[in-house]
Amino acid sequence: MAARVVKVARPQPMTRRWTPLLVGLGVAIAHFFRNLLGFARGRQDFTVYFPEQRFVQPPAMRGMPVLVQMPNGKERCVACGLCEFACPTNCITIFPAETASEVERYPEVFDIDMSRCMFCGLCEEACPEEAIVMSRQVEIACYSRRGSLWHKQDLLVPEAELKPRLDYLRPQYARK
Amino acid sequence: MLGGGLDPALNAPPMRLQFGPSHPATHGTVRIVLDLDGEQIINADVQVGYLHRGFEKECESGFYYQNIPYTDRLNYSSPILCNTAYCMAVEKLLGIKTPERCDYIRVIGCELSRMADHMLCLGSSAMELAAFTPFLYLLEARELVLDHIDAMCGARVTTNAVRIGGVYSDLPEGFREFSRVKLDRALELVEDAHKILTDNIVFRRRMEGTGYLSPEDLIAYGVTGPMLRAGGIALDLRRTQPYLVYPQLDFDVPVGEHSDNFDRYLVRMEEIRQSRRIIAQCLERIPTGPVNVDDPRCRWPGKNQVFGRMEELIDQFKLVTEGGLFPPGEVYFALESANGEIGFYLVSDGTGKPYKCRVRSPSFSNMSPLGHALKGRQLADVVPTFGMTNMIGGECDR
Ligand code: SF4
Ligand code: SF4
Repeated sequence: MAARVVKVARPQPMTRRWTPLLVGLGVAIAHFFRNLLGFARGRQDFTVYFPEQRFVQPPAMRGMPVLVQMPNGKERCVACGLCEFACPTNCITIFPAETASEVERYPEVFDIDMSRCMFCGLCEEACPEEAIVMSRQVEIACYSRRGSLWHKQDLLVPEAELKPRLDYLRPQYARK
Repeated sequence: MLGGGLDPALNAPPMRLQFGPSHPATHGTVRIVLDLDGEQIINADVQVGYLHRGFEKECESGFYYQNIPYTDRLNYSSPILCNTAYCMAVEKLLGIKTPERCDYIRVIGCELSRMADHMLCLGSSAMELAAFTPFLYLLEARELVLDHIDAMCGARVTTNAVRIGGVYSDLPEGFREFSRVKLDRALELVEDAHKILTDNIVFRRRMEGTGYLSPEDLIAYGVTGPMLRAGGIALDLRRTQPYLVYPQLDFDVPVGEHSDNFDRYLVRMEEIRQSRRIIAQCLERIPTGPVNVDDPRCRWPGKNQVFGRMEELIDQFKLVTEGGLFPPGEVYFALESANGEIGFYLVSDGTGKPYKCRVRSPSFSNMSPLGHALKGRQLADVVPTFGMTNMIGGECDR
């Protein structure tokens, strides 16, 4: 039960010149036929032909952060600012405002600069309201730098659409 | 000095060749200024620093937890190793012990990263020596390894998988089965690449005997990792300064004896197989239990409590906005990354931000004897020697 030191086995000095080359060729030919027959039997191609085909992402996948929209159309965010604090790249900007109920706040402005966001997920981890979560969206290319600034209205995603992510996160909430 | 072909009477200066900063045969942004006499290298001046992003300074302006994603960008071919090294340095500062399940998950992540790193190194070195087929096999194998990392933490490269006092998430369900199938396939591909490369006359002629560094030089320059072990020195921090659960695991530390590029290649090949063994053992033995320490100084509380209880909510606010409670002091912690000893030296002044964070990056020390190894050799030796140094710009230049 411990690490042992072993010498790597260095192959013999080259005496045969051609056989190793033929072995290598054999490996390549075996791959060729395996692929050929595999495709005939419906083997999945290793290359994914994006965008016609999509890579199947695992449940843990972290895409861009989005805001959870409650069924009443409002954001769940209470503008506490923790995500703004936690973000290493300072790409979140929040201007809080008071709601009519006087005890609650809401973000009047909630901007994320996606050109700086690195999808690290710290904002999601910091949020005490489950209001910002990582979506599966990664296709956010845009034509201008202005386009990479996402405002609150663009960031809101209905809670039902975020179900896979919330289902992934919730079992982990129980941790001590 | 200018012996060989240069005739002083002709007064011909050696040819100066700029190899890099962005050269198709160097997988990293580095410049090697070569003085050539025909094909022979009279002098090689290795210039690093093209990828300097100020990681160490940046760390000083972020909380301890905010620097974890930045460590992904150090060695971007094996980020979990950097994450783990950084988090364990901070844990050493705090003096906490992580739960056993967390340690196992970290070892699995580390070994997966090591495999991915070696596969990329061997594949791209083979490609630079014109062997394109094994490059594709090895990259396919690397993709299969990255699938694991993806399933573990949700990102393939910028993992951000380890936390101070825990890990980002527990292993997904069915990970063992998933891993058995995928790693078997990946190892098959590695063996295929091994069959093509190891005995191949062209590959061996270019690897054998080139890039020689004597064991004394290796030690004098502070070289670590596969490069040092290829010189016959069995320094592997997993064995000599055990951390995490490595003492309980059964694995081999391969060493070479010729200290040339071919031994470095063989050591890396063998390490991929050993990593596979380690992962299999870990998945066999991994205990159940928590994956995060219960320490309000550094680890954020579980969300269930944050949603429902005032104390944990306040704790969450304090930890996020103040970074945590860290004792003043200084620590150094190093672990064995794919390229050698990666260490973090942290100075804490008692606030939530490190006062100083210094990285001992293996690539930097591994690069320093490169000029020495190249001197007097042929121009064609630059490519395999540089490939087997496996310099990662992000880590070397920080
Ligand atoms: S994912 Fe990371 S970088 Fe992006 S907004 Fe959240 S904390 Fe900031
Ligand atoms: S941490 Fe959550 S609740 Fe607080 S401002 Fe950010 S999104 Fe809103």
